[in-house]
Amino acid sequence: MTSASQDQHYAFIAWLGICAVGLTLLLVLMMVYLRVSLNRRARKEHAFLSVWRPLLLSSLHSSVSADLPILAANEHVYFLKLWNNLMRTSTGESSANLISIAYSVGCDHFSWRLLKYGDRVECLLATLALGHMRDHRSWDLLVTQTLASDNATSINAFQSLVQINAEATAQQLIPLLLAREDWPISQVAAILQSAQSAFLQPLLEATAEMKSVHLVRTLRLIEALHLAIPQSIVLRLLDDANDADTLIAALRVANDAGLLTQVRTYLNHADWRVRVQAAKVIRRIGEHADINRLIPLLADTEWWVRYRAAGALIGMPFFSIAEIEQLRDNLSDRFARDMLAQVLAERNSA
Amino acid sequence: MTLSSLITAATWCILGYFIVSKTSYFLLNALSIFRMHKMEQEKVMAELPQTYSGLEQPISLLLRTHNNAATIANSVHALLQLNYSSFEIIVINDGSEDETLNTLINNFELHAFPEAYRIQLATREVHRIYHSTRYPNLRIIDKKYGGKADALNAGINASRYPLFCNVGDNTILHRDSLRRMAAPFLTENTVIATAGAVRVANDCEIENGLLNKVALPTHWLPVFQIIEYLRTSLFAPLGWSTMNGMLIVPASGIGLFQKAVVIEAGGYRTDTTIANMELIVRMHRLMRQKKRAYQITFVADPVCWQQVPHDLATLKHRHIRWQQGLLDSLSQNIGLLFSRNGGVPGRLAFPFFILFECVGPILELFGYAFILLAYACGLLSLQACIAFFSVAIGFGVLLSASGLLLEEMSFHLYPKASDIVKLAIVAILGNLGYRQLNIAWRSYSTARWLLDRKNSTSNQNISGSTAEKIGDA
Repeated sequence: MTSASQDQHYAFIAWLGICAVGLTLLLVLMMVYLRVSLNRRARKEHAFLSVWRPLLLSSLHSSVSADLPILAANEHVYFLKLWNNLMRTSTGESSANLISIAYSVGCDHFSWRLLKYGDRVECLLATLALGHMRDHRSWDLLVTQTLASDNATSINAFQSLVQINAEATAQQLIPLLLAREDWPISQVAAILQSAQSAFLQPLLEATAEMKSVHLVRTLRLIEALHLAIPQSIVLRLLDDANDADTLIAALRVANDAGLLTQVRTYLNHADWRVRVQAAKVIRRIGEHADINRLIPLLADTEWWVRYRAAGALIGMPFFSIAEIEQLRDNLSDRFARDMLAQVLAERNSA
Repeated sequence: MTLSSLITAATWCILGYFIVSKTSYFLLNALSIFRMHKMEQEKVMAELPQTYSGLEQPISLLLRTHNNAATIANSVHALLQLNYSSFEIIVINDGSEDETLNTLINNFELHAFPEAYRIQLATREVHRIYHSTRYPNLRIIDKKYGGKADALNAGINASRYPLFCNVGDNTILHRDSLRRMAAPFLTENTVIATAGAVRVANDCEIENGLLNKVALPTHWLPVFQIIEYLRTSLFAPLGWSTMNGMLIVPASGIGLFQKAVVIEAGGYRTDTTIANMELIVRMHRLMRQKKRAYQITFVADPVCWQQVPHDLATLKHRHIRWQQGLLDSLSQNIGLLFSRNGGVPGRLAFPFFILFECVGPILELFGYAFILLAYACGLLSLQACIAFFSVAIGFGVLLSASGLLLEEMSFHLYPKASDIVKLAIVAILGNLGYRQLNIAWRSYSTARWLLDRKNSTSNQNISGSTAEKIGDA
């Protein structure tokens, strides 16, 4: 490379650096623009809130007159944010008043439009609003949304469907609910809290499929919702289940004394997680005869098994504190003794 | 080959390195825009009242303390005010020789408790465990001094909950920090860890140990560090996080971890400089090795705040330590590099960090020295010199400005226009001395690490046996 051509290349590189500085100036201009537009948006939202917040707040206590201000198209998202916020904490008459206002300003129509054509935020806000409004006409649109790959969109659509018609949702969407592993159990449970009765039967029917890949999820949902599961179903699960995960899920919903014989067999299961659950069930439904089954578990290799066995012993009404203290003093295994001492201390400080 | 052609070749290599390095970081910033766009959308949802089922995973907060009698009570009181559905606080008194333990006992009505301490990770001896009668979710572990990693391992052993979060006693949290850190665990089943962004707390309003109001520091040096944090500890990890390749987390930040995975990985290593940083790399390695679906997510929301140095000596010490932490983390997990199932962390992030973060400072320092020297000796043309500085400074300024723009697009932490002007000035000035100073400190750190490595690795051992097993594999 000649010196002249090299200098040309250096000049090109220098220009790259200068372009970077130019781009920096562009970024600074963007910053200024962003700040100005942010302030403008904040002012607009503030102006909207100054009119609508008092109006919607007053509607929580009494119905609002028909003379509502006109809602401009660029205020729809502000309205949905404010309205959804108030709806989440409203019940009874307040909720009915808010829904009446929403229909008066055409919230159903612009929510449908946002649901179809809006961006993700607009779509989510519209989904929530249609659910709160119990808008039956949005059913098909919302069902389509439950199939979205984005789990925030899909789970919120599911929530809205539950609000609109819990029974129909349970009949139609149970397979989807169980298949959507990306919908966290905690969120699903929160959604179903108010519609437990609608989901009880479909969930119990889902447990009939022993080979279902969703059996564990079904049982976890039943547990999360504190649904009463018939003893016969749990008995069948405990008898037939082969994998530890299903056994654990089944033990977690076992509350009937009629299951004691099966539960006892799992106190010595190879998987420590099963032993833990079995000890917890014994605490709930155990008999005097189970004391001698629990004592060996105090020396289990796994801390949690020792802890739950000690908890079960102390929780048994027919085993007095004096007897437990005597047992502690006579135990030869140090780990068993320590665990019993800890659980005793926990009980005393509770 | 003549001297002139050698110098020309070296100059082009240096120029090429600078262009590739700065462009890569710029691309990372661009990537983080996508993630931030999604975060902005989720923020609208997060502002709505939340529905909790009570099934959210509870969290064990681990706070290690050593000779902090003056501040420990305030730190614990601050943690007790956090807003989350269910959490416990475990303070690990790591062999304090001052009044730390007595301060805790007196302030929180502690009494010795006969806890059956569960040893899942080997640690130095635990003397005693205390429970608070006033706060049922507060426990104190009093143990023999073993350093931060050893103390955290003891905390993991004593923790009862499936998630744990380690906080430093100089970390300032927001009331909502735990909720924000735990949010990815609630919405994604495969998340095994989240790392939180660190922000500069100097001159911010702190009330009862928690952050109340954000303000721009009055001293210039912390302002320089704000820009630096935006570049390296916020938008770079966020960019990597979009590809599930966040290998190196902010050194002083907090992390929320799935306990079972951490125990499987062997817990914290005691022979590493920055325990959190190394643990994240090792978790990547473990999950990649086991071919399990997982996510390690970066929480860009301002969840964790720290006082940063306002003198050069402390700043130098901090940069040296961070660089050593980075070098330790990568060298102790070298098996991930180009591993068969390495994915983005092993095949992209790891080489990137080696090239631009481990070797990078030395190469950059060499670049500055070489170009200046060659020009001074008349071996390099003025055009070449100008080309180098326009790339080094111009691209540096662009990176700083893009970090600031992203901040303005997302968090608007500094609402006053005068704050943004000050930050913009610092974004430019930071590339005219401050950045070069950092490079010099980090180069020194790398050189020292290379010299000390043999001794340091032979004198210390790994705390968890699993860590060794992963290393062997």
